[in-house]
Amino acid sequence: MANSKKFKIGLVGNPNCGKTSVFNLLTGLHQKTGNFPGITVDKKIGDLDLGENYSAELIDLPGTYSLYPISKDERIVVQSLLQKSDPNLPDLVIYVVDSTHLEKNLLLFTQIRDLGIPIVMALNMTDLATARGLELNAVKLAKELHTPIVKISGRTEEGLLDLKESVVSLYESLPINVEKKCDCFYNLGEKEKTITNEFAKVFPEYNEYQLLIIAHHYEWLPISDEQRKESKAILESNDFDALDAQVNETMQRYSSIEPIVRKVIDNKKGGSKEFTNKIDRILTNNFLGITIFFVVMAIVFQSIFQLASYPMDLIDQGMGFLVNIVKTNLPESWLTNLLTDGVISGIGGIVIFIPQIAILFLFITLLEEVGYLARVAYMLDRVMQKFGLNGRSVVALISGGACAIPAIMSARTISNPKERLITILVTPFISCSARIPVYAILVAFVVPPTKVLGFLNLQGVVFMAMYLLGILGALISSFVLNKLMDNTEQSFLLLELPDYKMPLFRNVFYAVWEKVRQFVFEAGKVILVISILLWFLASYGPTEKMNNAETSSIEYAQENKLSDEQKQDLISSKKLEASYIGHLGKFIEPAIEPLGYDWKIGIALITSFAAREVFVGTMATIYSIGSEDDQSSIQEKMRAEINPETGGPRFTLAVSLSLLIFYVFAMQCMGTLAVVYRETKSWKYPILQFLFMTGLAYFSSLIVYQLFK
Amino acid sequence: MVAKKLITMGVIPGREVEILRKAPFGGAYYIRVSDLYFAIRKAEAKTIIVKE
Repeated sequence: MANSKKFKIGLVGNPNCGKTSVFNLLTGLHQKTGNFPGITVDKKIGDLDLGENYSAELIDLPGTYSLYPISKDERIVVQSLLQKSDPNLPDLVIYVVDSTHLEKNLLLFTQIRDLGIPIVMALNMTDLATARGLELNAVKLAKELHTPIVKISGRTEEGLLDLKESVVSLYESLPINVEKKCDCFYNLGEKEKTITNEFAKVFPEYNEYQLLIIAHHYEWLPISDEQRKESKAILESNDFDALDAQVNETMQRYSSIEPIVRKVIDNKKGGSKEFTNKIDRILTNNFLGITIFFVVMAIVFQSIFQLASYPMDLIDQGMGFLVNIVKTNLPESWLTNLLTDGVISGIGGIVIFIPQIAILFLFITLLEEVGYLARVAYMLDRVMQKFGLNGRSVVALISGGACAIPAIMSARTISNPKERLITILVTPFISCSARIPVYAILVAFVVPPTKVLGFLNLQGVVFMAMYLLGILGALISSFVLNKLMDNTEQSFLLLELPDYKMPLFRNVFYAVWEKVRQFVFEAGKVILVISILLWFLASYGPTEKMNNAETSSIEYAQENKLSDEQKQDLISSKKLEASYIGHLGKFIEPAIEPLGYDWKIGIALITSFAAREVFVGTMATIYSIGSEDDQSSIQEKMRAEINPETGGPRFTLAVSLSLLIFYVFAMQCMGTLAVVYRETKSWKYPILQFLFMTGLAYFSSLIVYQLFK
Repeated sequence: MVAKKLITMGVIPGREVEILRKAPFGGAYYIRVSDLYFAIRKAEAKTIIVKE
């Protein structure tokens, strides 16, 4: 393949036409993601092996219904297929068609044809069409459309080789005479002809239909200001009514498509066209539908929560094992420490999320593939709309209860950019599993395990209150954000409810693989850098102070005849105090004093930015307790800690409640920030989110502390 | 805008439209046009003019 000729193929089709299965089928694991300029939707590119002489790059363009885009994603399709300067302009297009809805799928096909782009049509889901009693004559259709057509099945891989052959033979026959464009689908009206003639002077080298599309979209297409001005002038002088023109064009196209469809489809009786409707009678039922949804989400939630814990424990142990090996085999040095406490634990902090991400996306892709997520969006639209969210946001919010990272990635199924952004921004408010150890230690510390109302454990009630507070935080924030943010795109529900179908295992597998890969290699980089930074800050400090800390603790240990283990714990504790993080903790003490915290808690706040559960470990180190898991000994130390100003205990009810509230609201997770950066493709949102959540946490804790003091 | 999108999605003038059900919390309809199913908000549905 080394010397083969490489060309570009665009993969185009309507939403729900099975484009993804065709993409996966054609490219296998040779996929990578890139960016389309200006939108957050990933550009999927795959390498296509076309035998000895050719190879091609397959670009998966966003699904769209026509060349009249409503969203930014859809604009990408027009831009890529229209502009000669566009880097994504394909040499030819593979147009994927859902055979069960041929008529609707042909609209965009005829438009792309008129742009003068060579097309191979891939008839997908013919097996489904047959099952529904629709017999489609592909040979006849190919003749009618003057286009090579291949029947393909994402399910059985049937037609894969034929499709590749067709692509090659079409490419070899290029350039086909684009001027001989088929005029059987759409004839421009008099006014449009006048307009395109004038446009031809501004945009040379474009054909009539391309010029018409430019006329429709000149406002946002990347053309020069000069061209934009001239376009505007031409359209104004000709009194161009865009909507009218579009409706006219669409109607004309449908009226040429309709007779063709009637000719090639033999509609047999006995098909189960009502199948989807029958299922939805139950699945979108007022009462049953909502109940079933919550049962489904409960299963998803439990799986992320429970099922993921086994591989996560294994990863944890594996990383510990690795650290041990490195420590015993390498001499004690800063490099070894960097390797073990910085790099390996940083990587561990990335890998640990993989089980949760994989499990959540396993479910989400299954539900999306089957067609269920569209129903969720429909059922919950009204409720979520009040908060500026989308029906699909519920999936992200509920998953956020296990872990915000996969939950935020799942917001990709939301197509409206504003609704998607709000979902991403508020999801971290939902109490995730990493908050549990922090809640557990603090709740057990301040709340007595008494029974309320005879059967409820008070600790459990407070625990639940923390969760509710998080949900409240998410909903109120999204309500506020909704009011604050401009809507760049109109909010739609208008959604096709695709027919239910069996999920394709291949698609589920690739989706999971893709999400894991993106997290590890993109968000993972950020996590690794931050954890190395945190390691450095916690291990190093002003040299003199660090040395002092060590010698004085050794002296103290000798005087008081401490055991070796106690001595080591004391050294770690004093060293942490003398480190840069210790200094940082003391530095922020004045700021956190009104919340009732001292510098020791300050250190724990900073280190737990890596992940919330680190709070417990840091507290253990500061109070020089060796084994971090010993919850009761941390609590004992906390109880014994004296506040020098009051002479009373440091961890009063007020301080503990204030800390609890802080951890409910604060953005204490670098992984989440990294993933928000990855998903929004900018630092603006993670930084804003961090400031907003930490600010909210600060003021809520302040109020709580001052009230209970 | 809605009308533009509807027509490209296959909701073509002259076709039969049927409201199958309402969303559980209201606000949206589940409709059928030919052999296609759609979820559509009340306000969006108003752009469809129905003739007997």
